[in-house]
Amino acid sequence: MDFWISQLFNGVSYGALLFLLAGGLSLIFGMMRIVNMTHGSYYLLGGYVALTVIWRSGSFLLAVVVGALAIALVGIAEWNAFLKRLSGQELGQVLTTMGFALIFQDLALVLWGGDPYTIPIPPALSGSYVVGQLYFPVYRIFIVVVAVIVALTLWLALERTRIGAMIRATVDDPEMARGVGINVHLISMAVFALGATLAALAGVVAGGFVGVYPGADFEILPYAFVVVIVGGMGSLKGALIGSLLVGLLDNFGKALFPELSYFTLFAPMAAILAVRPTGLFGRA
Amino acid sequence: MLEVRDIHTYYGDSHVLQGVSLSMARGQVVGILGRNGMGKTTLIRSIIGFTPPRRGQVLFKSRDITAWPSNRAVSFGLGLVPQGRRVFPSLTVLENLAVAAKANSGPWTIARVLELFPRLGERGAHRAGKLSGGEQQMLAIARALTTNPELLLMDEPTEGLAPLLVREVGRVIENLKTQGLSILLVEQNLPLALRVADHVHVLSRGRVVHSSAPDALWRNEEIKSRYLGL
Repeated sequence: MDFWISQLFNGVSYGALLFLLAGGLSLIFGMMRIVNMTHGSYYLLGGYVALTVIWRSGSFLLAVVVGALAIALVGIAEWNAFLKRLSGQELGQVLTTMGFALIFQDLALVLWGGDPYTIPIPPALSGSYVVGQLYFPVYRIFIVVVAVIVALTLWLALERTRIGAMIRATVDDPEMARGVGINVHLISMAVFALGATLAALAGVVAGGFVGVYPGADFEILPYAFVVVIVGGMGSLKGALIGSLLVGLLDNFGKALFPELSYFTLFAPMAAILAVRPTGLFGRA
Repeated sequence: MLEVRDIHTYYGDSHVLQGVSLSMARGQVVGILGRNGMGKTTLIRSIIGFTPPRRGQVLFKSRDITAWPSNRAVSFGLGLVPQGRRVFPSLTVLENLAVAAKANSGPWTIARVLELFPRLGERGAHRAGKLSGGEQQMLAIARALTTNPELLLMDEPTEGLAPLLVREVGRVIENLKTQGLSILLVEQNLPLALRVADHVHVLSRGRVVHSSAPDALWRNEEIKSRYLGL
């Protein structure tokens, strides 16, 4: 019983981390049809920038803010200088974002070296709650809380504001969105920046839990794509459910059948796609 | 108010519009007729900027808008009721109107648009994708009006509608005309187009093959049988 509860908790908290990464990826995917291979790099760079800030200032909060904002600027620059010109050209987009992913990977290696680091977490977030035989690390609870706050905020912004309705209109029909006067370029840039910010936030948060190390970008990127594909492109609800599903599957897969862990992750994905090709909450 | 000068528009290598020119004055309703595949929708797409022409110019209120992104053209006073309605299915009826409502105000507030289409008000919180075809068409017109256009482009607003609803759309167009709105109307329904238009152009194979007043076209059996299949 204890095993199941603690694995469930681990799966949910990993799912929460995945949601931070995949929520933005799904919006970018659904709205601009961009397969953003750089998304993992934003995660990695967010963690590294936060690391540097925390070394200099000692403030975890400042590290979170600076890490997220710095990567938002990187995302805006990448969007403005390259991606907005490649609208509708899937191959060009994939190659461009893949190219950036490789550049950022090497850049991170040059700037921060090859050693793995862990972002020091504030004392308030360290330690564990102990219930009977079970340990619940405070930091993992913190991740779940952050993800819940982000999910609620995104949901309210998307469903209850005019800008949110404009974003959904653009997901529905980008050409017609322009045809009613929506500045799709501006909205796309904002969503791209938001996605980059959330990925960086995921990277900072993950830095205190799995660490920041070379290769973390390409390690987590497939998980984020599985979430987007299972949940359905452009669906926030899909990203949320998909993240939990992937977090749990990955965790239980690794715990129960460690030698089959990729199989326990990708087999359910294939099964879901066979039944629902657009993902759980996606539209054609 | 609108002047289209010798535009050539392509889909890939396919040369769809082969030098179309026309012009219309403020307050006019101009009808574009022709069979399917003759370039009517392409003309609308060329003017709004969805498929910009490769050659030629589109002038609106004396400005060359040929290469403008559609949203800029809409902000400048073009409105679009597209072929196939294209309401935003996952948005509610009210959201469909709200995303189109412009910051710079005009006569068409959402409240006033809903007076024209009371049925949309009753369905305000419904997802647009769940509406009937007729309601979606009304929503498409209402949505274009909330952008406060000076020139409304309407692409087959009666397509696929029951006769009763065709008459309803006809009444709406006449109502808008009496309020002084300029309308470029692409229509397959000849009686409707001839009733509301001040002037008509017939398109065939990407060219304007006939231009006249509506009653002159009505009497011209040769043009009607050759280009409109009547």
